[in-house]
Amino acid sequence: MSKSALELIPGELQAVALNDADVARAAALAAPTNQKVREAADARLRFEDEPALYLACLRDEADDR
Amino acid sequence: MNENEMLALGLAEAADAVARGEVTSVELTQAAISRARKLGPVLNCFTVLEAADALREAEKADGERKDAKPAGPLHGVPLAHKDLFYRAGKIVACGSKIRRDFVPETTATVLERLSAAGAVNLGALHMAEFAFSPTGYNEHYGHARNPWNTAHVPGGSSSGSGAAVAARIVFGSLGTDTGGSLRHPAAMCGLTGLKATLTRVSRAGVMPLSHSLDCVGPLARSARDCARLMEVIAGADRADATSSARPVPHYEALLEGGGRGLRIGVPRSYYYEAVSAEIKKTLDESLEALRGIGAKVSPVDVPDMNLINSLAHVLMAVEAATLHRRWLETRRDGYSDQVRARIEPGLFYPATRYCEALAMRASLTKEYIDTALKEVDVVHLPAIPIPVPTIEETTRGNPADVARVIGVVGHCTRGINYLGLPSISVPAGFDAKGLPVAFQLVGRPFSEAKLLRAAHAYQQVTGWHRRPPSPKPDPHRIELA
Repeated sequence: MSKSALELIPGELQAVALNDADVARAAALAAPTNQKVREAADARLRFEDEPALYLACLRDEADDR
Repeated sequence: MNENEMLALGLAEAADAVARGEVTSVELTQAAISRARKLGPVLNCFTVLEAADALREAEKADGERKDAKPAGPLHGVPLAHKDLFYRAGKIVACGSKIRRDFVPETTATVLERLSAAGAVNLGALHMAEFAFSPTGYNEHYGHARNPWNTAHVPGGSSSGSGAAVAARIVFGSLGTDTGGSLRHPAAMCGLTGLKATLTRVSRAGVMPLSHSLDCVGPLARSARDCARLMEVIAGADRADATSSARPVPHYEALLEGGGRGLRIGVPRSYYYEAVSAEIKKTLDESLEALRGIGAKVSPVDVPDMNLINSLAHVLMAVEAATLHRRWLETRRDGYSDQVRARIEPGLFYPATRYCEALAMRASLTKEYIDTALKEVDVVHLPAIPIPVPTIEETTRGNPADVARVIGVVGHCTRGINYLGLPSISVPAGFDAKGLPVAFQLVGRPFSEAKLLRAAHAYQQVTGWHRRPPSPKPDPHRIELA
């Protein structure tokens, strides 16, 4: 993020203080699948992927016979 | 017809009986009220029974029929719905303590459509707190109970819907499904439940859990009953910009045609990993019955469902946490521990993970269609991989065991919501303890007509869906009569 963009964000949000307990809690809540998901997602996500394509996919693949 | 004979009718049969003048709406409604008063407290399935209002609606319906006014496909039939569908001026608590006094100013589009089709509203049905439990868990107002055995969960989060329809109190009900919340009670209570394609049914006026995943659908005794309800509730809605403008098929008219030529895929991986032996046996029997009506069954591959489930979890957790953030800060004690623990992780996921889960949705949905559904019309899956658990198994004891049981309930359902595909849960028999077992059929987007037709064909040769909870000399069995 550029410096000029960062300046638009209030200072208190630029440096949210998280104590060790909060960090550990966040990590615990995101476990246990998070790392696996991250690896699988990293392997698949393409630059071209974008959410709007999803509804088009439902439309294009429809079978309402 | 006496009370038992009336309430033994399916929804479409009851509507047709009213149309032919064989029974009046008032008679049906009185029978439903009588049974609701008798069994409602036992099953803890109603949050409010609106007997006087229902009888007024029934009298009006009978008057309109007498005057030969045009009647809708649900004319005079008593229904009741999960307590998250907004009805202007009525409390809609969503199974929660936090919203116990919430009175919406609008009415859900689907409720308006049911009323326009002539349905009589009997009241609101119990549910899991904020629709957050696959078993129906509700710490604030007690658990709804399974009519087949009241020591067991009815499935959730549309727990009251499952219990009230299975106990033959109402002829059908609407539920919602974010990870299986409609298919779980259908499967556990011996009912037919249809989770439609995302965008097929309006969600305007429905308390959301996760807007990327939430679907509204019917829960009733048969595929025919679900078809009739779907035809009423589906279709574009100006109040819901996400609703599809695709024309709504005549689902009920498309039911006939049998199973000949239907191509069914059975996944080689993932879905059967958690299935118990007795559930597997029943599922195999259901495939045999489907072969018997001319379906062709073949093995299919499926994409990485663990990844898909995890992405579904990210969407649900983040969207729910966004909706609940303010209450999590100001009314933290208003949540049960179990529900708060399910919402809180969403506060911690990085925004990039959420965007990633949305971005990958098209490619993974396409991948599922191009692998699992490439050569077949529908995929046959377990609905619930284990026998219906007891309330005790899902609430007490070792927390790890409880979490495992709760987690496995959604093993075969939650990924389907990420993909947005339609899925129907169909009763397929009973386990060793006499609790229902079910399979799911999943199809391509907007293939609800095909799913209903396949389920209907199966139901014509099996009849599991016609069995009511049976009275037996067991303290946990209820007696319908």
